[in-house]
Amino acid sequence: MQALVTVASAMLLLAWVAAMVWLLRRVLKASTAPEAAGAAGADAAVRAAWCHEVGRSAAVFWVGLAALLALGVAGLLVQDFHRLLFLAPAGAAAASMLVAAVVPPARTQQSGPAQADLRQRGVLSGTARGGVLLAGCLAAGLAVLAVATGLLSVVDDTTGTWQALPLTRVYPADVTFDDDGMVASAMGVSNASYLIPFPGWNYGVPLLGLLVLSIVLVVIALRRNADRRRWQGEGAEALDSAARELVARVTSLTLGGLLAISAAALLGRIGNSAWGLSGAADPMRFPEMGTDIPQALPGLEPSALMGPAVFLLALAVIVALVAVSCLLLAGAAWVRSRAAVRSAAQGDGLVPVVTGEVVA
Amino acid sequence: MITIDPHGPQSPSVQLQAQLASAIRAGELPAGARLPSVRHLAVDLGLSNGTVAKVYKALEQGGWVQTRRGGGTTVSEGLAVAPSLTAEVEALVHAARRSGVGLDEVVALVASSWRRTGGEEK
Repeated sequence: MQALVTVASAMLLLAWVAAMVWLLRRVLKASTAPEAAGAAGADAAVRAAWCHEVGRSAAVFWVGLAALLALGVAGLLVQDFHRLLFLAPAGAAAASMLVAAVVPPARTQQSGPAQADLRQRGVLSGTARGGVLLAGCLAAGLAVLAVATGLLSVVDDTTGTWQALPLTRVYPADVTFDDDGMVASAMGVSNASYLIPFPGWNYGVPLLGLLVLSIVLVVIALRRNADRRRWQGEGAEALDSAARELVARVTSLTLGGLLAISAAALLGRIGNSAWGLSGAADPMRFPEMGTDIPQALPGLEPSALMGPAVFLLALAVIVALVAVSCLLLAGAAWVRSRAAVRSAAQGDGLVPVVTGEVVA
Repeated sequence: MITIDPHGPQSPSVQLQAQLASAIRAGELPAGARLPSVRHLAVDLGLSNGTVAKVYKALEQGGWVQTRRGGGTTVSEGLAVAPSLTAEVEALVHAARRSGVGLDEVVALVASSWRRTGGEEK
């Protein structure tokens, strides 16, 4: 189980590192691509606006990373460090989305005729669909797991917080042995209850709060990005679209990446609990007649299986959500390709030609 | 691309309506395509929401677009000129530019050709 937890955590962290590296490369590439594409002749005001948006995107990314490191280091210095370390990724996500939502987008002054393109702009325009799906699925999975672990948890008497999982073990109260050392009789039953550390509401409530905050902030940030006025001036067309796409992609992918770490942290906590439960399982459940106690008992308590079951369920939920997001992406690509084929067919002259009057 | 000149001879609403209709005829806005939201178009062009909404309403009354509650404003079916004709017009424009002929002259040439071939002038 420990190995499974380690592998799952390592895979999620590797995925995150890969996504972050890809994201950083994209930021760097995007910050130079429009120049290479011939936008160097753009107005100074438009170029300044472009630089502002590149800086804003980089700030979203680096603030998320810096907040993650700062909260991680701070977590090591406080008494309740487990909780702060656990919440660091979600806190970093909220911090980076706050930057994205609060820092105002660039504007240019109106000079001469105003221009607008005819494309629809919405909250999801320009975002990386994979990043949005990943962030959405991870947020949904984290919320489900936070609620599930909360519902399973009980109050830990020593700390007074909802971060314990009850475990009951059953012992024979009175065992007698025959001359050969075999169990002759086992009378009565005594219960022994234990509490083991578990995420529970103590972790789940702040995690849910940070998740909701991050989602609200990312929607505000993407809405502001879509709603901002189109830049006006020479060379504005290419840079305006590129800047919208850059901001939307960096924002959605940063959120997805940090939520992936948050998912890894939650899985790690659940995995620790599962490991604790497995270790606490008493191999001597209830001795059978005619057996030697040390060899008596194979098997685990039913309650001891709950921890691994919860962990495996958590893992299954995360894997299923990632699989669903991949399927949705593939489905969306298929629908787009069908639409493109249909559009190409119409472009071959299949569009009906009807005369109409221009309304003036 | 829509361009509005606030100091032009026509009012911004007339310019916007004519350019949207042209975009629909040229297939730049194909049948079923959603027009930009009133708010975004107004912000980009520096117009009031009411001005853009009035233009959309006029286009709807003229049968150019349809507005559905929750579905936005979409282009009506069957208004686009055949793509082949659009391509030929573009070829004409390129040829005129290469020859140094201006827009007014090209329009006059087309009108003359139209009359010669028996077309009714509207």
